[in-house]
Order: sequence, then structure tokens, then C-alpha cells
Amino acid sequence: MKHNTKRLIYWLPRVLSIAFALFISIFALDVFGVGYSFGETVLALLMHLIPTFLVLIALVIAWRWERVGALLFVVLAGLYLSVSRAESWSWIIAGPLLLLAVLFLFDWRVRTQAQTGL
Amino acid sequence: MTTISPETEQRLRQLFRRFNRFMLLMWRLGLGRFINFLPDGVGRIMVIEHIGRKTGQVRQTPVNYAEIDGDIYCTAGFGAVSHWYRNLLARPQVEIWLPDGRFHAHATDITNEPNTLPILRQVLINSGFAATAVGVHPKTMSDAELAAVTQSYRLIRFTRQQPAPGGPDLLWVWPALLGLLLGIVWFKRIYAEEDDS
Repeated sequence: MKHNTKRLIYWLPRVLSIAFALFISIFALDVFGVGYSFGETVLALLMHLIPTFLVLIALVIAWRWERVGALLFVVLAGLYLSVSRAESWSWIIAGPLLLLAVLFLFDWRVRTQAQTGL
Repeated sequence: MTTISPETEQRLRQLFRRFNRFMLLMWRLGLGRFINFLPDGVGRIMVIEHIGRKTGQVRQTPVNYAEIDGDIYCTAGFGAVSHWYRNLLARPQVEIWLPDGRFHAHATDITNEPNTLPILRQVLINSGFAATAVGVHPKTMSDAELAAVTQSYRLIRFTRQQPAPGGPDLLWVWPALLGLLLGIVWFKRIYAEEDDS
């Protein structure tokens, strides 16, 4: 496999995870402009950012241990689907999480094969 | 009459509610012009700022629109049950956010006026994937077919008045984000230098 392809497989799930974290962070901005005090705004923002923090934790783990991170992404997708009762719209969030899990697993597989010389 | 079942309609309303929340935040972040870059896909989207008829609170609703001869038109595709539509009937003086600025406007329900089908067709064409999602194909349907499937739709005309003050209230997010990124880069450099020494 070419060096550039390997780099792409390495960076794609990581960059997409950051983009996804940014995407879900946008929804936390709802807390501004609704008349909260400063303290209430900070608290509401932190609560609204919990999904982002979870994605970032999964990303930090997946960066080093792809398989564990992939599992965490699957767990997050499952949690989201169960909380949202698997309504069709919930796949907008759960779908990318599952995709990230697959991409991290693929990265792990490619790197393992390269290390074992297969 | 619509071409979809009530269950599907309910699901689509939920989906659009979430999509609208995202679109509204895009406008508040100052990206309103950019989300109108792909009219065939996403559609042309503006925001109506109206007053809740029960609460008296300011509400913002993103909708698809068409501009014809200087007037702005939009439709309530889920019919007269839409809250924003009922708010407009109660208080027709609104503010509209368009890619070229914010304007005070007066809303009028013109559903029952004659010869409005071409206008409704243009609004639906400008709605991108939304019309297709509910089984309406404005580019290919005949007038009779379109009139039949849009029987419950409401058509609203906005007469633009003077420009409204104000702008995107979340613009500060961009410099804050840039500052955060620069902070991370700076922190990484310091960390790397410490590692080297």
C-alpha cells in the first residue's frame, strides 16, 4: 500500500472525528441569546457540550488505541439510538459515529498488517 | 392532501425541526449567505423572526423562499397547524433575514388569491430536497397534480419594508475558535520544546 494511502487511512478518521465534534458543538450554541445569566450560560453550555466531550474522549483514546476507540464510538452510537428511541432522524448522529468506528478499525487493521508484513 | 402517510409526515416534521435548528444556528453564526450557495440541493433558506401568539416571545423559523418581483414568498408545507404560520396570522409584522440583509416585512396569507400556483411552484422548486422528501415534485408535476398535493399548503407573501438593525449574534464564536486553535498550537510548541530540552 502506498505511503500516501496509509497516511489518508490514518488521518481520515481523526480529522472526521474533529469535524464531527465541531458539528455537534454547534448545537450547544443554542444557550446564547435566551436570557440566561453568565453563570447559567456557562452551566448550560457545559451541559450542552457533554456529547462533544464524549466524542473527544473517544477520539483521544482512539488516536492511540484504535480498537478501543472504535468500540467507544459504537457504544456512543448505541447510547444515542437508545436515548432517541432509534427515530429515523437519530441516524444523522448515530450514522457518523458508526462510520468513525469503522474507519478507526480499518486504520488499525491496515497498520497491523503493515507491522506483521502481511 | 399530501402524498405521504401521517406517520411519515410526523417523522419528517421531527427531522425538519432538527434541521431547522441547525440552519438557524448557521444564520446566527453569520453563515446565512453560504447556506444558500446550493439552491438545488439545500434550497433557498431565509429566517422569519416572529412573535409567539401565546407567549409573546421572539421566535425564529428558517423556511424556504422565493423572491418574485421584489416580494418574498414562502409556504407552510404542513398546513395551517404550523405554529409559525399561526403566529404570522396573529402578528403579521415580522422581520426576515435574507442573504442580502435583514428587513422588516409585512406577512399576508395569499393562499386563496387567484393564480398563485406558479408562485407556489417556484417556492417548492427553491425548497431543494424538502419538497421531494414529502413526495412533491414541482419540476415535473402538472398544474392539476401540484394543486391536488398542495391543497393544504399555505402561501405567504412578505412585503419588504425598511432594513432592520442587528446582525448575526454568534459572530464572536469565530475569533474565539481561532484563539483556541492558536492556543493549542502554542501549547504544543512549548510542550515540544520542553521535550527537546
